[in-house]
Amino acid sequence: MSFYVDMADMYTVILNENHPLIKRVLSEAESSCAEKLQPIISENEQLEARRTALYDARRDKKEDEIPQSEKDELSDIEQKITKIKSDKEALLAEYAAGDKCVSQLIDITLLQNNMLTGEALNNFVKRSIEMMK
Amino acid sequence: MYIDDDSKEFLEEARVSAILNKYCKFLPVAIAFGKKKEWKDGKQVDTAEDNIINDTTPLWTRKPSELKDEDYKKFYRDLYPMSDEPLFWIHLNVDFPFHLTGVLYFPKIKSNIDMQKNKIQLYCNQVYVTDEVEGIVPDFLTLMHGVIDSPDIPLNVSRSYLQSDANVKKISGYISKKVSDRLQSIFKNDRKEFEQKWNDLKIFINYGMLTEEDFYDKANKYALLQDTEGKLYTYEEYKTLITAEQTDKDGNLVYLYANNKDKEYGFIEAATAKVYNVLLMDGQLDVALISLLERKFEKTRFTRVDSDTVERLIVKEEQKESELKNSERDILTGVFQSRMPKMEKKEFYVQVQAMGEDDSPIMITQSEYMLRMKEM
Repeated sequence: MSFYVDMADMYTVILNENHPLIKRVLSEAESSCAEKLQPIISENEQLEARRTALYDARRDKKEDEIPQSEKDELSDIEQKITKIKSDKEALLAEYAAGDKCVSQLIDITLLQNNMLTGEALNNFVKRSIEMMK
Repeated sequence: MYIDDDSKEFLEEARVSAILNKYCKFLPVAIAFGKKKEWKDGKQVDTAEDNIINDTTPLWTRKPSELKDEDYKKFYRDLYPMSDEPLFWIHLNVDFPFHLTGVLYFPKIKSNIDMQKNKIQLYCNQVYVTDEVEGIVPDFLTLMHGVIDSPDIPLNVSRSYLQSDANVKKISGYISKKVSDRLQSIFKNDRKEFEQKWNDLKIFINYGMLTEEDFYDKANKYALLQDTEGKLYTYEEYKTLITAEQTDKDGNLVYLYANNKDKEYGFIEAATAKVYNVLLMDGQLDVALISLLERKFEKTRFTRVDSDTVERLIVKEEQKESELKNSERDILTGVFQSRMPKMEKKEFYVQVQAMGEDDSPIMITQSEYMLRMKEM
């Protein structure tokens, strides 16, 4: 059983999309990132559409019947999608770092589950006092 | 008689007295060991009276009708001087098809770690045989204290021999039945007292149900479940209580439980607000008991109260549909995922769900599967 004991604990963090606070976080994130996010999202949509088309085309073919150019294009698209994904993550992370409400919500739920300790707890207390001023 | 130099300790009075006390304490013939002593002029001197070290008519040889509660408690104190008062006792007395007398006590088990087994003493016609009764009484009853006296148990106490002996099997079955009957009668006649002592009794009863199929069949009528408010219910009563509210859309009855009232307080409150009842399962044997009950009860599932959001604990009808676009959901998960702390051996996955406006904006759950694996 040591396999299970050594395994990392996996937790699901559930956001309630109908709660006013979550709605606010979403609308603020959308409006302040819209400018940078929009081109990324539309590029991503185009790439994904192309990827789906390529996969559909090769569905009935055997591996050696697929032209090399298509294979290259697909791997190129995959790479681009991965890059876009990490760009998007970086962009959202940058925004999230400045949104106190996000950190506060996370800390509150960690606190409720006895997982907020040490430095993180101290930061939470400081931030809470800061927000009350 | 010759005593070697390195065995001289056996001539010491204290040593002899200890041996006599262990093996001859209840012999049917009076045993005199020197004379009784008294204090005179600052030192102990012998009197003319013999020092009888044994009790020739111990409690279990007397008729139950002649005995008072105080006699049983006194006898228990004699046997186990350092223990708390026993919860209940059972006076055993059988003539057919085998001979067996004795008194068994339910001790107070202070903590689960203190599961001291094998305190029952075995006698044969009042002659001490052993204090290892494994194989003679069912495993879960080795937690009990007391005395068993039977001339029908072979004195050759090798374990493999004992286990194959027909009389021993009958005796074991008889004791188990007697214990179960006694518990049932206390439950029937004085449920209040039974409930008061439930916390001490549950370790016997749950252990018994887990290890003996026959015991489960009897004990499931008086074994109790406790909810987080401290109320106690029999299995049948609890089922009736929750059937209306806690049946999911597939007709399964969902028993909600918590391991720790303080840690899971928020989830318990949310469930209570939905008129659900939450059981408190914080005993050492409760994880195993849950698996047993899931096997025994039909169409029943046990779910820990913090394993999902309150709407999904008991799925009643179709879930609320999400109104967000995929891109919006991505933004929310991205924003929150990036701020989740990096903790050793903990991983967080952010999800977006449609819930009520009044529900918590954010919560952390751990799946029932993970919870159980971790507790094994």
